[in-house]
Amino acid sequence: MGWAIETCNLFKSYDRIKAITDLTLTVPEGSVFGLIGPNGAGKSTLIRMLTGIVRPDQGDAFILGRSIKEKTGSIRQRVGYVPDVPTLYPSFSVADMFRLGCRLYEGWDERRCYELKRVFGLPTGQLVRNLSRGQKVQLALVMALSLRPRLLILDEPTAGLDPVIRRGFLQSVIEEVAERGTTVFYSTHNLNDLEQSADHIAALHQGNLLFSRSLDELKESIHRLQVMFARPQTEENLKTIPGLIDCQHKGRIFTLTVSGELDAIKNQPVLRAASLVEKVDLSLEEMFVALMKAHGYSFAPDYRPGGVLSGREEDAK
Amino acid sequence: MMSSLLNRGLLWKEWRQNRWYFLLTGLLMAYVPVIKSLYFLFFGSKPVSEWEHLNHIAGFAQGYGAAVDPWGMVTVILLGALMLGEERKGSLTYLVSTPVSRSQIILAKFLVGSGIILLMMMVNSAFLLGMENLFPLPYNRMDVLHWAVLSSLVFLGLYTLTLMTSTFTSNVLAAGGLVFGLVYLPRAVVYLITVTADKYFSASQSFLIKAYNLGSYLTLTDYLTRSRRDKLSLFDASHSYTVDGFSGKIYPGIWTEGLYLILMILVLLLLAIVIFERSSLEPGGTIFAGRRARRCSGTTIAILLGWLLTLSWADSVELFFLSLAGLTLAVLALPELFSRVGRLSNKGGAA
Repeated sequence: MGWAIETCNLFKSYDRIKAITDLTLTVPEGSVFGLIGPNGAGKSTLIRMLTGIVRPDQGDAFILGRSIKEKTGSIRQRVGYVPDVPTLYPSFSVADMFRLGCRLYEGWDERRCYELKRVFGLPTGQLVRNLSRGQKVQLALVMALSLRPRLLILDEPTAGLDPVIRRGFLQSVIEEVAERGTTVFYSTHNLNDLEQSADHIAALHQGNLLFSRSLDELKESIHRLQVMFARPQTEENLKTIPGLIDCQHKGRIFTLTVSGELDAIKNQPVLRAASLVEKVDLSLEEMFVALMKAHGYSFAPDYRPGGVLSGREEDAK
Repeated sequence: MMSSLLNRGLLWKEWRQNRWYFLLTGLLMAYVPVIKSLYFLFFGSKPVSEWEHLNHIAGFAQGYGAAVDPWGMVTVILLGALMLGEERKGSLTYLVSTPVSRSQIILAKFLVGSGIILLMMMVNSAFLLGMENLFPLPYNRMDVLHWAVLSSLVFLGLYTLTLMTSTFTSNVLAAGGLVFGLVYLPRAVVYLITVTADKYFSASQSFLIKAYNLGSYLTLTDYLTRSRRDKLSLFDASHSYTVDGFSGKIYPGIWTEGLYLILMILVLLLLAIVIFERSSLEPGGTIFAGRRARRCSGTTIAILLGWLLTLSWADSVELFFLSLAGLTLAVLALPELFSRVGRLSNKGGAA
């Protein structure tokens, strides 16, 4: 399997503020790859570098095997891009935008464009400046899908959209993947959407890669345990558990978020003393919140255990 | 090679996006030679031979006076700034994410904008020739040809210069403003050099004339207000004086000047492509989009200001160099000083 995206030691800073630091990441071809991270993590900067908008300070990245530093724009012939706020031509009508797409992309599919336009109900004669935000996102998606992309880059496109439009948008993306095997590189804060569609996840924090792995691997590596002790316990005792990410408690019932192999965790001496150890389902959003909290990013940080990352995550970092 | 640089889709996009600007450009460029003449013809009372704006054509050919109304210059500068500056509002990020190279983007903007300018100059020239056929006017066909060639090239030069500045400025106003600064920059630098050489190093008059000539050939407006070519202001210990008519010819070589202008246009276009290819389209909010451009312009302004202030008081070579270094560093440090004072006062306020 080849890589749809491959970044090698990418660096980017804005006026001495590091946006991306030594980022090495691979996105398998044909995957739906979710990019997550808090605000300011560097997700949009990475995407803007991949789409040729921003130049990296150091390092290189390859899209479908070709360097983003190539001066010719032909590398983007099969790359569709939908940004968070589509910046199209305000004085163009929807039809003009399609005409432009047809003239710029060699693989432009008129028929598919017509079908998608009909599905989304885009008003052909309306000027882009008069479209709502949702319609602009739909227009950008129709344009991105009409060029028959091998890679679709989405930068938080569904943020601020109503649930109906959001669902329609995701449906179109999922259909594209199912029918054509297009690689989707998807940055979003909506982790529920990602959980339903992504097969790989990478997390960025302060420009660094925290981890990059398949969704299944991720779910198997982070666990939430409810633990009840017969005798009173302190949090200090539980900090001895390797890979502890988060610890909350009410009375004698502790809720632990831990990374690592489940059996090995359960065999820790402190947990063997527990009267009950039960695994609780953890959503992607809960995993994300716990991981970010471990890195000092939370709404109200109250607990920061040391050495919270597993060996693999430390490697990735 | 050329076909890979030209992108028909982009040419179409430029036309479609800027067609109303092009119409406005056409009207403003034709305002003095065509629209004003037609107005005078139908509603004016003066005879054709007394129309000042047409007499300028004759004046230009004979080596004095401005041949182009400021409207034309402002118009092409505005067009150059709008062509790229308008896209900085957001659409440029879409455009660079499509399969076109940055050199194709700049070249398409240059070709379409230049095409409009040349078309309008052809319309203006045809109208002036027609008027010359119909009425007794103080210019002939060759005068119109010379006027058309030099004016078109100056317009193209200004347009390309603005396009180039738009590659590193973040909006229309910044690009347009900077162009006015750059147009007069060679004249300002030559002024500083000649005064310094004359005052501190007793340079020969031939050196000063050569320096002045060089500055004049680098100053775009001098191609239009040609009488300045033969006027050099000098200073000595006691007074200032003007050397007039030193080049020995009232009528500088049009074709040589045209060649200089073409070379300058090509250099500016190449610069525009190189800068645009290297620039990150970072968010706006500052006059200069790139950090390097900000540093470069800050240093240039500091040196020029330091130099100018030094000339006003330093009366020996030693003092000149000392003052130049000191004042330049002081001007360079000023913004940092202001920002530190601002930060301190903000901290004080917050406390």
